[in-house]
Amino acid sequence: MEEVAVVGWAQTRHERSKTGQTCQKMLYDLVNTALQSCSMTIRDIDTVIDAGSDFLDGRGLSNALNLDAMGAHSKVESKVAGDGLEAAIYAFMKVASGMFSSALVVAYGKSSESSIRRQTRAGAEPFYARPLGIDAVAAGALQENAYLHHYGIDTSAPARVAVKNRAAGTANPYAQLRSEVTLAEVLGSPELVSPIRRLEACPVTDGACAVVLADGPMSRSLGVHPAWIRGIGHSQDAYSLGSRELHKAVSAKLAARRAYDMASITDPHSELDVIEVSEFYAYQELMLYEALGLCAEGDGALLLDAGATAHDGQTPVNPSGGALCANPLVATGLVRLAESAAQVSNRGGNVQIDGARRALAHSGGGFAMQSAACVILER
Amino acid sequence: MIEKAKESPGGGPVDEVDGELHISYRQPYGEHYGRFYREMCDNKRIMGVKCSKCGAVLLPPRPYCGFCYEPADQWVELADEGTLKTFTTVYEPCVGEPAVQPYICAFIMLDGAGVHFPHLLGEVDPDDVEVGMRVKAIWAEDRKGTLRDIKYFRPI
Repeated sequence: MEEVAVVGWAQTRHERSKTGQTCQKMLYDLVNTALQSCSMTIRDIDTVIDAGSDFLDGRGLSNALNLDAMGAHSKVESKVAGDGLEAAIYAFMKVASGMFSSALVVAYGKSSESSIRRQTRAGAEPFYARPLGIDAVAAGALQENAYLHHYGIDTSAPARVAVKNRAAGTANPYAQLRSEVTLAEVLGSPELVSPIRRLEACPVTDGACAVVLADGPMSRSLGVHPAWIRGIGHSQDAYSLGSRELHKAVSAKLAARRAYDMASITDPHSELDVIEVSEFYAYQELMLYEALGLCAEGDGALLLDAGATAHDGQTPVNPSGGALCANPLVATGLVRLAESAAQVSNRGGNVQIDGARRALAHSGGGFAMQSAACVILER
Repeated sequence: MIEKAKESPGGGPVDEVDGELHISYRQPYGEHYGRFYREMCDNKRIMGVKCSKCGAVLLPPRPYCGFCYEPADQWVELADEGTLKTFTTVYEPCVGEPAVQPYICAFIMLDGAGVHFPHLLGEVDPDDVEVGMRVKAIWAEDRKGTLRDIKYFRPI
């Protein structure tokens, strides 16, 4: 298997609405910036894998309109109907196989063009969930309640995640929400769907991310610090909410275990320098601490309150501010990879964790973290 | 998402559910479609963009050439007439398409363009249409900045 590294990346400035800009213009500028970041041109790219949503784009097979904007004309291209981090995993496998020397991964979503809640509602099972009015937020709220109740966790713990991540987001030039919030403000914000409060939910975002992968020889020839991919993992939990242990992020745990095994990591808390997770709602970050093995099950809030996941903690989580500061749907997990690559190659700018050498990027998908993907990067 | 339980024909218990999915979209023209349609609306001009590398004049206008992946940043006015490259007569229209049926969809190579322009043919019997014939745009009086600012192309 060939060595594979993340060598270049770019993300848009994430915004509530990129009014007046087509998706194609957004992608063309983005891909050029990503290529420039690693001194490559589109002719150096062997294959393109993209992640988009037909629902978000309002078209079937919606990648087709964006192919030339992404530089995929005449190239080997395929689309992933999931988060861009899953596209990156496919791209890794394509390059690791030796069939391709380089790959461009692009993920994008313009949520402003339609209604996210209608779309996630349509994702619900038609005979067994839709009649009850369950959408993504309601599924998350059911999970949060199950989690808090199972471990006897104080309902203000998720609010403290929001305070941490919103403070971190102020340093991230790409974040959509770049203002701090106080604990009182989070606790005082209205409950969208109990117990999820408005400031504990990710915003609706327009944005995109592109990442360039290359094999060992090409990675070493570019004059950049490669972020080597040392582990990958993916897992799908049951679709039916009733069939799951809702108080656990089982898919994230399995995805992380696979990635850790591949990267020979046995103690993630001490061996990982930084983690970026896709926490669509604040409680999910606490559950992910546990699933990623940073602490015992049920101890996520203790880890948070000890400051272990703060910017200056032992294992900072979401120094970018995470999904609570910008959630460009379908690209959110790929943004985690770009942020992680920036960290381990010391290109993190304002959000850089000093001396970060090894990072984990996580993506989630489906209702209540049904699916998860993890990628481990190393300088 | 709207579901309605559908009773079985005999009036027994439900065994199917009818569903409808309505999602509204608002998608921006952006800079390039914006200028393209404004020129059609205000000046009855069809504008393309020229690739800085291969020189092809592209429609619809876009910031890049998909063939070369280089900027296409020079705006070029095209003729409102050209040569018919292919066509079809539509007898079974799709939803929301022109009221007058049958209608003729056509790909036209406008003089000066590097790619085909899609539109309709009018003032011609479907049996008389031939690939290679010269056609010219007939502009609408009431223009709003859409593709229908041209009513159709007719043979010259």
